[in-house]
Amino acid sequence: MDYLETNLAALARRQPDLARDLANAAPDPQAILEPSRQGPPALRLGQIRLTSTVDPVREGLSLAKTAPPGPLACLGFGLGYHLEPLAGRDLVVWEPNPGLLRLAFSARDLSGLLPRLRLVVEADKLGDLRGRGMFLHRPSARLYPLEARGLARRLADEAALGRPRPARPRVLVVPPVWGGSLPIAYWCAEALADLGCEVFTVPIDCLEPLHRLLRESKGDLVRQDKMQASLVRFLGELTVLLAEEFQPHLVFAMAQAPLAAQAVEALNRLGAPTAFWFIENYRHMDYFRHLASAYSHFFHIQGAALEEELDRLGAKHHFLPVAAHPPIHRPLELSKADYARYYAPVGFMGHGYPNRRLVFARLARKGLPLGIWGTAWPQREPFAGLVREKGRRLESGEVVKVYNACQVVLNLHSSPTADDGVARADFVNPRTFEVAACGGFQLVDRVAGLEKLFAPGRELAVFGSEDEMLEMARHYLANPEERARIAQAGRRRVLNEHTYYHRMERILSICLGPADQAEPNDRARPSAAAKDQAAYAILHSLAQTEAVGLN
Amino acid sequence: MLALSERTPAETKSQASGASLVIQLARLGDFLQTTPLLAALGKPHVLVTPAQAPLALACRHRERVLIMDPATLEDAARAGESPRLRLARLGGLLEPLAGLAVGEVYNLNLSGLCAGLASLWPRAGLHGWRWQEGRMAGEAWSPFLMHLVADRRLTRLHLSDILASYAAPQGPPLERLEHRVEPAARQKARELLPAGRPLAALQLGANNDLRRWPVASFARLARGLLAQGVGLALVGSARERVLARRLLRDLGAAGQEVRDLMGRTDLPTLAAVLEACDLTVSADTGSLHLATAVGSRVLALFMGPAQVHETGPYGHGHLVLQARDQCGPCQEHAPVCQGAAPCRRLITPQAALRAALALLGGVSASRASAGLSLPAGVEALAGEMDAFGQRYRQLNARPLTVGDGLALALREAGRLLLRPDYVFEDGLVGRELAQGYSAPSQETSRQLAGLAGAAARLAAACHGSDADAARRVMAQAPGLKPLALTAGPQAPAGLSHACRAASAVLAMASGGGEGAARGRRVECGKID
Repeated sequence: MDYLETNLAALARRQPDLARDLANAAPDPQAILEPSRQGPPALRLGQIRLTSTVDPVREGLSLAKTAPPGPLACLGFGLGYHLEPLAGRDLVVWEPNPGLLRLAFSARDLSGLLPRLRLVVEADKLGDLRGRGMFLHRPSARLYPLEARGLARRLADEAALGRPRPARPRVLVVPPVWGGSLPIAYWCAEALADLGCEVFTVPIDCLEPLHRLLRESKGDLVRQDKMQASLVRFLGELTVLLAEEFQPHLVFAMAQAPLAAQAVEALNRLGAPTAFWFIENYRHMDYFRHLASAYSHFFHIQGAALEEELDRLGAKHHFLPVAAHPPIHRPLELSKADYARYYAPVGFMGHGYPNRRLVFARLARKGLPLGIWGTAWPQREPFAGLVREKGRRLESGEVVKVYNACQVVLNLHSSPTADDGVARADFVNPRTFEVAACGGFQLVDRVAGLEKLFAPGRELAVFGSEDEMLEMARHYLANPEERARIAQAGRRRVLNEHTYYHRMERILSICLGPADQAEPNDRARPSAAAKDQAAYAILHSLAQTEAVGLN
Repeated sequence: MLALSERTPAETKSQASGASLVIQLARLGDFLQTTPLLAALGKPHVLVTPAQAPLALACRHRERVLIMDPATLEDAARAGESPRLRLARLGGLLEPLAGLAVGEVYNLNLSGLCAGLASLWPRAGLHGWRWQEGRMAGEAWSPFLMHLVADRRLTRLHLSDILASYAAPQGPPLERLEHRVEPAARQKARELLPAGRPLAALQLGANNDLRRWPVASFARLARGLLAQGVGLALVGSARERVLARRLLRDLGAAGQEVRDLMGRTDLPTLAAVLEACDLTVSADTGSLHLATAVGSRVLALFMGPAQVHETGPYGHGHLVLQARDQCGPCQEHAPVCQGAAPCRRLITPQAALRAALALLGGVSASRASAGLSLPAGVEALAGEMDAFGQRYRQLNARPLTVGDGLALALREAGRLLLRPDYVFEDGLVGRELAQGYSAPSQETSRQLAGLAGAAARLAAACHGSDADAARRVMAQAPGLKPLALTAGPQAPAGLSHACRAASAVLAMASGGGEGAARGRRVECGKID
């Protein structure tokens, strides 16, 4: 007997749209219905049994006993045996394969069950799952492992959203071994600590000298890759071990952190959300594809094209541009010696990407008084006379001196292709925020999304072409007041919106829920650090008085 | 209340070791006016705004220059974000400062924010404005100053000298403000300015229109100077360029000879330009103080809220024309005239031109003012330095008023309160009275004598720390309010002596400066 019409009618009373869709769905051709040894129908998909072939009713009963109390989110419909004992409960059931559902509707009379649950086929219709426990139909979970992982993560996230953020969240920070994102990882860790978190940063960068030997080795590449893989495995296991001891509320990994997907899975199993901040150009760094969906939250710095890709990968993603760190990126008093080392009328600090080499060579030939710091610049003219500090890598503190000393700081976003010239990137690089935070005057190329972060012309000067860059550099060199005004406005914008404090607060809000609006009183204690006490005093002093000049 | 600056040496020793730090986060000119204090302290660290930083870097009386934009702290404190985020942001701005070893902090700004900043060094000795039991507190003499400036017509204490007093110097630490001009800036200035003739810089703008001499008046002055072969440079910020355009339009073809440098100089170059000029004509502005700091002579045109005795050009030899209507000096943001500012038109271009040409000719301020036809409400004053610091000598003698006598009495009382080592010499004050003023009317004389008696009674009340008696004296002589309201258990040392000195000055004023021949010296701690 075919129960399809009866079941569709029962479903239509609560979910008419889904009933219509199922009526039009084709049964899965690989699914096979057959009577069990006890009589009620059994179901398999190819070689995978979705019900017991002996006694599916009894199996359903024993599966139902494993369900947690309260409202449930269940993955897998099967033939509904495991759901019937739970029919009195608040049930959301996600069956990703409509063809299987259609077959189940034909096989059994489910008219008593269907009006008492909400059935979902597409993940985006799961809706608000807060407060629900996860109930996996184990045979279906074997069939849909990615969906099982996604549902578990989603329930964990939504549970976290319902909970208030812990008063002093423990955050495990995982930095990379080396590279440009390493200092950013430490600035993030500092910002998290200043936001009241208990932070443990895995000191992965201790391995940098060893890692350097490996990456500079002239040996066999295959062998190097194997060693690299061993290192990543070791660091992943170490991180999991440390996490087990630290019991973080959040694991925060920075781009290039040496964690493979398995390590991230293991961290997820500890119950805390995991977050990854991918502050790289996805077009050149495709490792994110293996990791994006493993993390509870994937933060990135690029726009729609990357987001489409992340949607396809099933990642929960958020746009989060990089920023500056005020204790580091700030106006400095420079000694005469520092000025001599780090001053140029027009300065650039960064890696010699092909597009930069091309553009800067042309500008130098046109007489722009350029000074260049950073690595990978050619030895030949015109660079020989422009490159400072022998083209060595500058520490963060030195970079800040360049940004402070130069009258005009150039910022040309990178492109690996020389022909790109002024490349029109679709991300905003850290330099944009760092120069502004230093109070430096910045001439930056027009990149997508920049106007959402700064007011071009008012907070930084923006060029769209090489000629425009040259013209603007000359104009601003001759107008110190305009430079100062723009630089000051840029610094305030960064301090007000684009610091790692803001970025970490956003990550905490997304991963652990909104911040407590009550004022923390730990800053006022005599034992608190002097800067915290002074911050507290300033917060309160502004509430009490208005600034008055003596004259 | 025992001000921290009055701690005994033993107590001071218990403080954290490290250099002194001066917090000065007000305007450009305020940093320059702080240089005497920096000199007196002997190279302290300074905490300044980004705008002040070039001045601080060029100053030889400082150690490290720390930079802080108070607006960024206000932004962080007032943002509509969670308290945790606001505190973290504030902490991030403060962190670079917190590591500095500081033994003594001098906070010069009456602002809760700066007082909060001062608390970054909890083990340091605190001077100036700080939080104390939920209130802003200053030095023991701060209440006297606060009551004094409530009626700004009576103020005769210069800001630079008040600031220097934090270091309790024995005399003026500097004879003028100081700014070191860099050789590279000097070269730039040479390129910007015409060579080989007398040069004058005109600063057309001011931070408030009430303080600004009208552009039309400047245009007539400029025309007169050009006619006499004086080269002119317009200085100021880019925001003030509109004033330059109006002036140049007014000058027509003659304007082509004027170098318009407004907005085209950074601070080091501006300093070099002013140094190269033989005269700077300006209202109460940062350029005016910078000009004095590089040794340029100044013709200062003060009006509206600008009060020469408070913030006039520091040093010897500058000439000030102070326009003062009945309401002046007014409150900057709430003038009685509601912005009409008739006082701005009191100084005539003819008088300014004549004075400017005389100063360019190298004569003294006193001779430059001779023969100036000044209308009622305009005073000519010459900057002079004495044993305390700045004072301005009245050049166009006029009958002494009660206000003049009272102002001088409060000045001498204030000097004794601010600096324990100051020696009051009535002979000098008597001469000042005799030179600057003609004899008072009988009624004025009678009133001054009454005030002298009241000040003597106040001295007795203060000697017994009897605040009630002091208030009773104040009821009879409200002019003595700054002294009377300072009386009480927390009064600064020497208040009674200060009142006696005030009484002596008032008595002399009552007699038109007679009695000065007695040559009495009143030293703090030695009068009783």
